[in-house]
Amino acid sequence: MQPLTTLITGGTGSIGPDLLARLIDSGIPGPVGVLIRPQSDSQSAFTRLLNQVLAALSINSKHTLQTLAKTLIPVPGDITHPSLTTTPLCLSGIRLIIHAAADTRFRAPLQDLQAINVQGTRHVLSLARQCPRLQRLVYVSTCCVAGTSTGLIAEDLTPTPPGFLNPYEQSKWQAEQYVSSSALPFTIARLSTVVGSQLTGAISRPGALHHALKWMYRGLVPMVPGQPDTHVDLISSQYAAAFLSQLALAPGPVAPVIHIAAGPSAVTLSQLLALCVQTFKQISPSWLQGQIAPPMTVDSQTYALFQDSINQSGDVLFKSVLDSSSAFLPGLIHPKTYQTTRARQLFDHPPASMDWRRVLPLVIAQAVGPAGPVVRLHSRETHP
Amino acid sequence: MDFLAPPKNPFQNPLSPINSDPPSGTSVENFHVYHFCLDRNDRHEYPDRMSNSTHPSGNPHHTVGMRAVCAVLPDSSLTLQELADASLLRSTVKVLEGFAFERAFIAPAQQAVESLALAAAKRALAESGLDPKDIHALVWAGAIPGNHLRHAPLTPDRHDAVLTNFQYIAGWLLDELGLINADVLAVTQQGCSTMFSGLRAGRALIVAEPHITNVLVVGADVLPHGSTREIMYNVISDAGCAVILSRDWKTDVWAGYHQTSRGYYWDTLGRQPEIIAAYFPTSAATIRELLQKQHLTPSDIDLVIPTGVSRASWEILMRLVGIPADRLYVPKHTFGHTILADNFLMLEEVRRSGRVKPGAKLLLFTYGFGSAWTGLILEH
Repeated sequence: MQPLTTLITGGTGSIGPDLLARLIDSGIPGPVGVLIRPQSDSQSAFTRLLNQVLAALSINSKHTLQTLAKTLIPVPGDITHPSLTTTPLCLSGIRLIIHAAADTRFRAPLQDLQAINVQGTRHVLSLARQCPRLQRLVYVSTCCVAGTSTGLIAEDLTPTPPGFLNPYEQSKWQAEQYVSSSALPFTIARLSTVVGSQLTGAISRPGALHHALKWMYRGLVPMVPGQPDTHVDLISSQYAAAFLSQLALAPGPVAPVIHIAAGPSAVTLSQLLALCVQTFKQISPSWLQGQIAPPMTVDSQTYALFQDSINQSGDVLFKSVLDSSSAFLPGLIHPKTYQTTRARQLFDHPPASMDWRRVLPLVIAQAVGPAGPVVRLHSRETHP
Repeated sequence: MDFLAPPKNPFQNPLSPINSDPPSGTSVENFHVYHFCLDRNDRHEYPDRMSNSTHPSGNPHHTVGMRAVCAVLPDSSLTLQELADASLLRSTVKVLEGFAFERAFIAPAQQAVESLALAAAKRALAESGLDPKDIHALVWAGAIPGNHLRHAPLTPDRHDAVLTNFQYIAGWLLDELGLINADVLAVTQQGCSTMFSGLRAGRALIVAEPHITNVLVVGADVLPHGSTREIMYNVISDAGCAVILSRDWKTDVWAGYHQTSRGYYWDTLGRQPEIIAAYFPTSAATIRELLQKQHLTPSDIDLVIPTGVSRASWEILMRLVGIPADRLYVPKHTFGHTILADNFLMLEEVRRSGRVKPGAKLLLFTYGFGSAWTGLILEH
């Protein structure tokens, strides 16, 4: 394999194509290695990725599929492998590593998440130590490592673990500890919730928020915990990619932690719910006719009573709704605002925050999709 | 008086005595009043909302109170374990015990509905002290279609058999009770809210028709023999109830009513999850609208008369509306959920206890398939 200048993990993930496109638009010197899991259709999977990157490039870009294929090189491998790949890599030229691969299943068992999010990160760090010319290691983390903390969340390392709402948060915090103690030239980039494309609302991989929206549309979410003015920090995949790309290629030293988040300009819970109802009304006659009641905003104690009654009933469907919503909703009772100063200092003219009034209706419409009948399940769980 | 046009003073009805002052305890706001002319061929009907207005003369305000409230349960019951052993439950005993259910009262198969209805009605008449001929209307309330007809002996003649579809319990009650001066009407298709609508109709008759002073509202529902005894995590009992509404009666005075109907939830089978999910937000909105209509705050409610559904759900609902938790009535006896008699079983208990002060504001609330969320405020 030809010597790489950059290695990226998670390139096929939800923000991967946008990130790769931004890096290429910024003139990143190639070749850029994209770690991709070996599978029976690896070649077509990589071709799909190239097409996605091509579509995300700026309109001024002169790249074609052929030129992209010379810049982006597939590296068969897996972060669960101690050396990431069995393909011989020339590490001497690698100056940049962006580690974005992760298991983002909020409710997966901690052990499973640690295998990828913690052990996988340690494997990346191990490889990074073998890169003599490494200038920057960008670890893509999540703002959710703040857990149950409230108030203004600073762009700082957090050596003391907060309370965690789910195993995912815990695994990402644990990974951060390894990164921050690695003695490598690292920056931890914590992303808030990526909702989808700000152009089309398209969602490459539905997350907890999208599942909650879907249940809400079907009238199966009677209440959400939180205060009306609680911030719900949402960003687009393009916004995330722009900041990550700027961070990756920034000359000179960069802060050890940055938040890629909406921060103070985040939509509030009441605004989000109102937007949901407004969008639902455009899609569904039943919502338009006021037949379906929007969810109520309730305090944590009331929500806990409601959760208890659902758990008491053992209702499979509602437990499923609650479980998929619980990855997202409980965070609302720990109101917080993410500081974004250091992220914005990467730019002379930082990109505008996502226009949630325009983008969220697109995302909501994509998330809820064509409505079908709700099937009651009595014998087994199913994922939404 | 020109009967071909509405009277200039819409509040002056030439057929009823003119009262210059409303009876004490009457709320003058948000009443709908329908005026009828003496000559039915020239009837003019128009709604007149009397809100925030004073009336120079002629006062059609009528206090309507509950002169009698009685409810009856069958003698026999089955415990949760017995129900489970008979495969009459979907959930486990443990789940239902967690919701504070203990047993279901089940009426015997034959002549169950009419027996419960008759028993409740007789008790109500006895409590009221009224002569049956002083009842001017009977309103029958029943949620389940099969409960509207008298059990009739089978007839081999298929031409006669069709007539059994018209052997209404309401008519039979008129006969059994000797209600020789009562008009009959019936209310149905509102599930557990049906009795509330029966009362609403009864009260409207009193307000609208001067010759109607006492209305007997009777409701009874029995699940079909062999039915599951669990509906959406509620253990269902059979029961009957009866309320006598009387003009100018000062106890448990009708002080406000609000109903939210949502046809979207007609499909009890296909939209079960949606119905469950809609319960809390729509209940809270309905109660809030009722309070707002009556210019009341949640803390103005002195006592909430619940239904027999899971007590935990009532605690949640009280929190959603903002009514202090200690205002939720705790009944002496539990009986599961009786389709349409719950609130009246508890209201009867409250009345007999004598422990609630006159003038206290009582909130009765229920949800019924169809769907309808209904709230009623009484001044005790």
